[in-house]
Amino acid sequence: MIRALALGAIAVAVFLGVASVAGRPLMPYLHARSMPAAKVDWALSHFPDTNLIAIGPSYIHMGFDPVAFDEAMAAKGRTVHSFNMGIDGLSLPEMQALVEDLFEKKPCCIRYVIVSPCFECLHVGQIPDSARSVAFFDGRRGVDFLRYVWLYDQLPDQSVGRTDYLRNVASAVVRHHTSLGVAANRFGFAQFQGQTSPDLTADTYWARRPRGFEPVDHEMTGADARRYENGLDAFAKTRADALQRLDAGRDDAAAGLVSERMFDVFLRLVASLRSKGAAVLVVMPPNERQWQYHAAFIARLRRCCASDIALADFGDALRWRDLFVPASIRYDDEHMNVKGAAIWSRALADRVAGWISDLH
Amino acid sequence: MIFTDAKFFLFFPLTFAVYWWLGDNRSRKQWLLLCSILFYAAWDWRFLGVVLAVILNTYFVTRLVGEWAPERWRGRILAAGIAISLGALGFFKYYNFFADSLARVTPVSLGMREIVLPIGISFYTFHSISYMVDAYQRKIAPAREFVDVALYILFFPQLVAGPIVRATDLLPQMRESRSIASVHFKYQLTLFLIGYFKKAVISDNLSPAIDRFFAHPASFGAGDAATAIVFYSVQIYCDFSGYTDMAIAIAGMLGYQLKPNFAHPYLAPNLNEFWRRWHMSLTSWFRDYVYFPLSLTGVMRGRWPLVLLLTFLVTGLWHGASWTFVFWGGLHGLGLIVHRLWQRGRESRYSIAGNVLTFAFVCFAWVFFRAPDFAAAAAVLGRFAAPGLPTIVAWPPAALMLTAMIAVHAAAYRLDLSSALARTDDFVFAAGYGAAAALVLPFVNVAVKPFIYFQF
Repeated sequence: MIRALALGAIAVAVFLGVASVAGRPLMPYLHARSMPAAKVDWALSHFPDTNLIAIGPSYIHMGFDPVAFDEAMAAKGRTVHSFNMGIDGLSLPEMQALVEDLFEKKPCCIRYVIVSPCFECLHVGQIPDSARSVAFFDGRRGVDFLRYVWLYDQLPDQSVGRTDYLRNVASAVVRHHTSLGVAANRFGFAQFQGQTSPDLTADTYWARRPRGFEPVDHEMTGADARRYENGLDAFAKTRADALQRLDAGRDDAAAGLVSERMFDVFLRLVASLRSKGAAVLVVMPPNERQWQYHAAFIARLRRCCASDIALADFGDALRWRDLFVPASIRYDDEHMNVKGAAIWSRALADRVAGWISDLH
Repeated sequence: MIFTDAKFFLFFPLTFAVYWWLGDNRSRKQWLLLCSILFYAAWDWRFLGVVLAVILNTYFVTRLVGEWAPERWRGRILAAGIAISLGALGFFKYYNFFADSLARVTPVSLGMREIVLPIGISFYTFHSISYMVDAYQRKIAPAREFVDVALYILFFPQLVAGPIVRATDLLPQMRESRSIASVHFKYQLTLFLIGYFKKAVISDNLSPAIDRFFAHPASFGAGDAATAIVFYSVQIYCDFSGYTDMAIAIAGMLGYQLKPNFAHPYLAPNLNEFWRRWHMSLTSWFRDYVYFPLSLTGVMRGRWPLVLLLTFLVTGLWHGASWTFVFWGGLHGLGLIVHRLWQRGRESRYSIAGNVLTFAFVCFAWVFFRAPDFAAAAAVLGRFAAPGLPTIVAWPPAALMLTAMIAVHAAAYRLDLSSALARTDDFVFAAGYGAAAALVLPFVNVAVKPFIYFQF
């Protein structure tokens, strides 16, 4: 019995040792850079004159057209060189890490940052088996991310609980530093299988997206489009009413979707950008999906820092109806397609030009 | 729960620990039976009733034909028992197939039903039938302990995908006491890891490219068709033989010896030899319980080609309720007939040309095994008319991998693994095993896929 236990202990010890050391070269994901890191490197190497970035999740990635934006800005007498730093599902902690990486590599010259914070985005904690997750989650970021998740009173995806995030992040952290987590993930320890192929970072990928913008041709049609268009007025009124209640402090439950501590994370991001010499404009997208998070954030921003942090709320469908309809300019109720992106980017340029004038 | 699943790595250590902790054979069998019931219930508890019905049928029929019944009744009792076990298989697996086929050629419409196929039914009904026949033929004394019969049918290592174990092999082992000292753990653990590697690394990693091709064959050319078919031949071998390796290893760790089910089939120089090496437990089952009895019946006596063809048509049908499986079986039957006629008077020996030809034929037949219908099979084979280099995988890394697999496969043919491991120092083995497991795991496909033969 003792001999058997000793043999078992030797096998386990060698397993852990080999997995920690030899496993890393065998693990393909660790050789593949994550999308955020790849995008920063691409921007800096191919567009070194960038002085304005738009950063946010997929609705920025698919909605901010740097070419249309820069042309519109030039027509207003403002020369900018913009780059789309939108990344699908970009959470606030990832956004912080991305800007830290960006400013570390390019200490100067990014003067304007358009930020669209996504409080409903926690995707990096749901895909432990991906280059993006493994690259992002070192020990410090793993702890910070979990602390961020624990700030939520109500998590955005009800099917993913805190223990799921804990498990996924732990798996990704261990895999970041060793390959022991590979064993855990292989035995189905992490709940979400997620991506099993490295993120696309080849030059052929960027040829279609030279300034980071993801041009999508698909447009809403048929019954979906009609349903969307017919429901727009009701959405606009509902959102406006909700914002009124939130501004008046009459809806604690809705306000709790973006708690004060969650909002502090955003304020730290703004402070961080400003410390690098960048001016920050907060943009809310022309979205219907997850609008409750946007409304809660807007109300908190207005209450806290309306005079200090500029806000462009394109989610107001009463005012920005042209960004919502017709449905043919939209990929879905959350994202623009390439036609809609051009329209929104020009509208954004109009707002940004005025904002820059105010700054100076 | 399958052998590569996280749950199994909790289930088996517990099963193993309690099993060997129990002091007497009777308690151990009861414990194994309980674990086997839980193992099956983890798949689908609803069909425990079907398994119980088959077990009860088997137990009473074998007792009757083996001990209790008068001689003149034995044949009828056996026939009834086989009919009950086959009836369960026939209903759950073939009702819709026959109803649909009948409706296509006759005005008779039986109506389709929503029938869920109980996992492992093809295997445990064959266990049941072989035991009943062997008891009838007095090849084995019927087990008096109900636990023995239940455990023989439900023994979890071979319950859901074989190998098809004969009662003459397993029941005598159940009557013996065994000690943990008799278990060759080094061999069993190595066999398990080899099986795990075949299934979770080779088979599961080939699956995406194969699925991509077979889903839309029109999008690919001849190079991809050849690649996908060869890959499928590797996938099904590694999937099934990998499972069998793990099943044999798990049974071995519990002190039960199961016979090998594969003997390097793709190194066979002819089709006859292929079927002596592929799924050997099934081939021998059909030989003993279908081919030989049919050969001895009056109308079939002397008509071996017809008997052989019928046997393989039924073999194909056993694999799945679809005419493509029947056709696959028929192809092999015809191939065997041609081989035997050609082989007459010739000495049988290995040749590379024969090996390549046999492998090519087997690959061609696998198309019908893999394709969901004849139209899909035709679409796959039609791609050979569209020239094009392989695109579904990166070459030459894939070629290098395939060459390495062939080399290892051929080298392993002559290796006596059990003896080699017996000579290995225990501590060296422990360290080597830990290292090997750590090097295998990074390559395991994350998405756990069921074994291919579970669908049969």
